[in-house]
Amino acid sequence: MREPVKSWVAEVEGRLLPYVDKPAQYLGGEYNAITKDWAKCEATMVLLFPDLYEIGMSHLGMRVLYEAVNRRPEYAFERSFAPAVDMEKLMREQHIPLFSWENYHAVRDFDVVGVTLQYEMSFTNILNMLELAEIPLLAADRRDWEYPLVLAGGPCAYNPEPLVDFFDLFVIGEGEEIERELLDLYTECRKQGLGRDEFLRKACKLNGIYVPKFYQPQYDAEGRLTEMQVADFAPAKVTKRIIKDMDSVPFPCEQIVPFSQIVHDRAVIEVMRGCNRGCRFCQAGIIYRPVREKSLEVLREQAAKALACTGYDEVGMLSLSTADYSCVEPLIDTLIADHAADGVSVSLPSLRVDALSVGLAERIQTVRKSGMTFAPEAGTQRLRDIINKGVNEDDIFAAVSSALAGGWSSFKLYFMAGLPYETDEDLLGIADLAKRILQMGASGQKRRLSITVSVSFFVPKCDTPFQWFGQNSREELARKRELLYAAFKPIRGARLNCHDIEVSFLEGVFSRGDRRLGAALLEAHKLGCKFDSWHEHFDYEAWLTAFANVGIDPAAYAERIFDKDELLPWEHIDCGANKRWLWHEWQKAGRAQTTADCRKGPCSGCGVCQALDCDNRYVTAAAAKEAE
Amino acid sequence: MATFRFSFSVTGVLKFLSHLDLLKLFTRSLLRAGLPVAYSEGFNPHPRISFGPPRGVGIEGMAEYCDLQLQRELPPEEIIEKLNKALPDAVRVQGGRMLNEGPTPALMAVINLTEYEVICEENAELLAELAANVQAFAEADKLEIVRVHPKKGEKLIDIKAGVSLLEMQGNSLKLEIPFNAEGAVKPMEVIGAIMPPDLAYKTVRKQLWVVDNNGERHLP
Repeated sequence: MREPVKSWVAEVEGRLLPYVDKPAQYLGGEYNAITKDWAKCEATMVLLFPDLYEIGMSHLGMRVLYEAVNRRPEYAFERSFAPAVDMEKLMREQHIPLFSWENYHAVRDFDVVGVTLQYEMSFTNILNMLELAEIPLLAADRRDWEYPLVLAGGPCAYNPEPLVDFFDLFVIGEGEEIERELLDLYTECRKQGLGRDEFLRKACKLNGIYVPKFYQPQYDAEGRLTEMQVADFAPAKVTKRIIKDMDSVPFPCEQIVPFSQIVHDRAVIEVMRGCNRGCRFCQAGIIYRPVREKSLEVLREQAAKALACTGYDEVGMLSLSTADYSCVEPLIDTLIADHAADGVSVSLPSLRVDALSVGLAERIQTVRKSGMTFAPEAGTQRLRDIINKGVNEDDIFAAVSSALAGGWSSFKLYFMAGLPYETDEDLLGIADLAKRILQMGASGQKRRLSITVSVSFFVPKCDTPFQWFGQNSREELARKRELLYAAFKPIRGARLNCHDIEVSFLEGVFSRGDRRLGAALLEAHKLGCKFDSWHEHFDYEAWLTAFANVGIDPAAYAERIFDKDELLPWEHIDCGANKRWLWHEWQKAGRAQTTADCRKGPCSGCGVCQALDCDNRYVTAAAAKEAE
Repeated sequence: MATFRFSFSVTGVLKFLSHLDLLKLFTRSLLRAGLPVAYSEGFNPHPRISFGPPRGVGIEGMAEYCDLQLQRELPPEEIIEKLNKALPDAVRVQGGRMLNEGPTPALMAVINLTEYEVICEENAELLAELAANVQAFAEADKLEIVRVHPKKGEKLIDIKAGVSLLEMQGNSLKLEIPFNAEGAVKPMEVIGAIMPPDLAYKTVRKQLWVVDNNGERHLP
């Protein structure tokens, strides 16, 4: 049995909570939270979400892991989030270490500390949280079992290289099964009295586990990666893990109901994983392949259970592209039939740009007519073909006109600037599109139409066809931004918002970066960088100083164009899609040739189904009918 | 439609919930409890539930009040049992009754006095300092403090005028604050002005009162 561990409940409740803003965000013991007695557990794990509670609790992945691990009685799985700045200050003054929300146990007292990597701009928060936890930041400084095992997973783990200094291992792919296998191995090794190194040697043999210290990059005189030297007992490539049968995998219906308001405050069901539209800029569209849909009957049951267990009055149908779910209409109708009488509403996280999607929105938005959001992503058909968005002008105008007919009068449109092969004409095309949509509203509509156009700056990501492309320079992006503002100035009824160029630039540095960036990250942390994705906290100057201090030119990373035959820093991490196919897609982009969605067209040969031995799994209409 | 008026306590860490958080906690518990809640009409229906005057974040409540509209009358014991089952342990429904048919004035309109108790740690020296401050408060004509509002800016408030009773007994302070349409002094404004900085204490809202024209006190 393990020795009792101090709970910091008295300190947190007495010395912290009375003095901070929104103390309810730090309260564990929410409805459906699981608090286990550590004396009865074989291993304990805490998952760190490197952002505020209101963001972290809105994230489905954390809830899924919480359920999957806690289902095993011998393991305790708890949560911790980044404290807000006022809370952090007080914790440091009072010498109270970072704690878990469930038991207010110090994070450093757990066996395993997991970190979820959702976006590059949360990296400094990770270091800040480890420091608050009083755990050495560098993996090399955590010897034996004096400190917890520190691991990470999530979308940014597909290029883990900038982070390898700080983690003992990475989990690649979907975590439900592998997290438990890893805890089993950990428990076994500790029972046998094995050391940290011996454990890591065994762990690297589990499918989906990447132990970076067994992989040593070699660079040539110009600093280009030439080879990844792999220890003889470790796999040359780490292939991602997936859950093949989504219907039988545990899903958290007993969802934690936070005391305070969070960003996505509703019950959720996970409709499917993966998306095969094949947009060439989109990392999620590749790394979560193949598509695995859940059956209508399972979703119906899980929605009913989630609503009954939480008391929420809204259920969200989550996936990367719910409108693409084979039985989306029957699903919506079933959920409405089951729950509308209890005042429950159904929601879709995002819409495809077409009239059909608008029809879905109309089905569920029986009463409210809030804004309608579309993402055409690019302003001209040529560029939309280059990025393989699969949307043409007819789709856009049909979507708008059916939304207008449905009573919507405010639209939000998402675009990107700085895409490959982009010209000024493409950017002016964004303004032109906005103008034409406004004109549609002018004819015969009672209410004046309003459009908000939101432009983000393209960040090339690993494992996409655009991974070879160097991001536009900051000067070029600034010029494009000015061009857009000038083009929108004369348009009445349209508002233009552009994202931060500096933030997009840093994302670009890290998304395709390599191991050498760890030093810059550590330096940025030392200079006080944190909450970089929060405008009020982002300190660009500090970041530039950090890069200068460690002698790294960040632009060389962000603007780096990789050659066809060059070894990419993340090539030993295998998401299933093969490099040949990605390059082929990159070449097709150059010719503005599109590739069909493999749900509809022929297989384009991305290789995922073969690599993972799992075909796309669609629910057929026949099966849906049977279920009814 | 039937209105159920009940009292409840909020203790432990849930004293840190804001008024809005507590409202959400109740609406979700009601749905989990499977009670036939009445909904407002309009585009965005919400459960018909209303509370008495908001309690400050960090203050425990011993007898808070709530009006809940149900689609039909139910035995109070049944409602209380179901609600308590769905609520966290730190929130307990204590008692309640169905109100008579016909319009009833809202809790916010009838409650006009709030009673607090501040329980301090045993520390003779600091308690003596507090007693002196309480005495000075009693003798003062007025005591102005600055209330800082994030949007409206700074405002000068006379907390002496806003307090009807401030009394010390042993290590406990009794504080009564009249509450009316124009708002009220916040208990923490009074406590903050007289409390020695190093004295640990906890604040409890003991009761909410309806004081009639003759000065008699009734429970809501």
